[in-house]
Amino acid sequence: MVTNQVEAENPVEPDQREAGDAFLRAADAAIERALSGTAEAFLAQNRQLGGQ
Amino acid sequence: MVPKILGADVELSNFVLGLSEPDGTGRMASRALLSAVRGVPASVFTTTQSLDWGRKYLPANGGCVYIDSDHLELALCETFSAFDHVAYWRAMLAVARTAMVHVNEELPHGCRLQVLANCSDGQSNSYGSHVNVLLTRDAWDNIFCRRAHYLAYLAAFQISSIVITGQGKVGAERDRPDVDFQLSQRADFIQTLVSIDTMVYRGVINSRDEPLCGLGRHAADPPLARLHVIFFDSTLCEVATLLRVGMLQMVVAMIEAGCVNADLALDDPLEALEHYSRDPDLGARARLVNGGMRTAVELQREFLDEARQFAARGGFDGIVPGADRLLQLWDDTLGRLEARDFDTLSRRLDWVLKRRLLQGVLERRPELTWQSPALRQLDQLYASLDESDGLFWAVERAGQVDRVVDEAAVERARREPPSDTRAWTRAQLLRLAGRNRVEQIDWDRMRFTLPSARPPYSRSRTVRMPTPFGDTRAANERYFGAGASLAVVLEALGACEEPYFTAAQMIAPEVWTIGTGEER
Repeated sequence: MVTNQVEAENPVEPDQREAGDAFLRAADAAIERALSGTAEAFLAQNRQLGGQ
Repeated sequence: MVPKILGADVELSNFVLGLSEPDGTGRMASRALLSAVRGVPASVFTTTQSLDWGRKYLPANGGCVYIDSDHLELALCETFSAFDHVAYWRAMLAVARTAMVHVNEELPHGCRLQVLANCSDGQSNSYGSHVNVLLTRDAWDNIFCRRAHYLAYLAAFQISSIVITGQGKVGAERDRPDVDFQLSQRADFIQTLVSIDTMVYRGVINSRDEPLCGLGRHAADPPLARLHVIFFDSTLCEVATLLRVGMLQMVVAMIEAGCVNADLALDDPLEALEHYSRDPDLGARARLVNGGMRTAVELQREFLDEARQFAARGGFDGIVPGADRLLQLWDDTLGRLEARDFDTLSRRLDWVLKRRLLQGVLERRPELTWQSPALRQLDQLYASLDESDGLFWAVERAGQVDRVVDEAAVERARREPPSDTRAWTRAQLLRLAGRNRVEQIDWDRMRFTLPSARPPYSRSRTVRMPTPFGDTRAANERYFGAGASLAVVLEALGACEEPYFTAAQMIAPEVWTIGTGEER
């Protein structure tokens, strides 16, 4: 085994509960960048071959 | 019972943004990625088949990469601990990310390689994130050939598990009725209860019988099998990834022991999957064979209760490492699902995190709806490996998701194989031999060339490793002392001279890469 296991029993502590949507703020920059691009072009070029 | 050794083979989405080709850019993207990964080719023979093309094994950790239907595919080395599996999943994603960065440095201005760890492009094309778990041949036969309620039990577990294992996606595919958001990316692509197929007519339970545990007289003793689970989504939240494989280890162990509660079987598993996946508020109930009605969370709670009773009898001892911690985390996560505590669940479960991110965007951008292309793009970018646009990584960097392994463990998993499976010996042999002396590699056998051998003696030596929990560091480290030559190590490992491929198999490797049933 190679793993350092972080305490996994109950990783969410009460003081970690965010009053607001901190995770949304964290992703703000990435979201804004994505929304400033051309979604249609992204989706068109993202078309994948069906896999397994 | 046998240790519940884990593996995974995961296809990534890949394309070149800014470049339009009539047939898409998946082919060139996947090949560029593969060329940027350093590894030892699995065979000196080349093929033109589109499935399993260009396979390379990694001397660093014993895993491998290849191309499958124009997707870069990551195959994780065998691990015993579910926690280790999380570390190797993260490590292999890092390998793919490094390759992506390298390729992007070479691309012309205006083009960018995108790599996404998801299971659907949102346009009715799905690709797999398969998990494998070891079981006895007897257990396999019970599931697929003898006891229908074992199969129904496994199906009910997998289907209800999407409340934990789903990555979530916007909309519906394959002409299914429209929906804003659903838990499972694969649900729209599951068409039957059981199927051997993986690219069409996919089943909740996949019956591919390819043990990768030796062939014929070289097979493992006791006879082993590999449950190939094609049902799950790729997950990025570590808690979800851990539970996805940890819960599966436990349920398969219970099945192997004959501890199967047929009362948990769903009356119409496919209908249940559709209802559960399209109900992010978790209120949908599905009918059991016994007439009861259960939400997915209620059903999961009953599986957990069964597992706890099994654990109390010592059933997981030596079979599922860390079972107590897995049970506790499974219990705590279900408790939060029962309480609809999405604030804290967004730290653990991808579908909850993704849904809340997208709901937040909709609240701030009233001009957008669930049907907007921008939302569908963000759905895809959630799983982008690029840290500059991948929504998940931004949230993780901000400390807003829970970790179950630390960065040191992930880095170690990039550089070292696990010590408690055959992956350890595979990695050591790859390092010792170097690419020029490797003729052929598969998970359960390796063939090398010894230039010093002269006719009439064959230059080829084959090492067989039919038991995934054998050939560990403890078993074989003594052979790899300083200065040990490949010839000496191979002899110590019992390598045999005779070639194990017929001429026909060398010409058509698919004969042995696709299970034929003769392996048994």
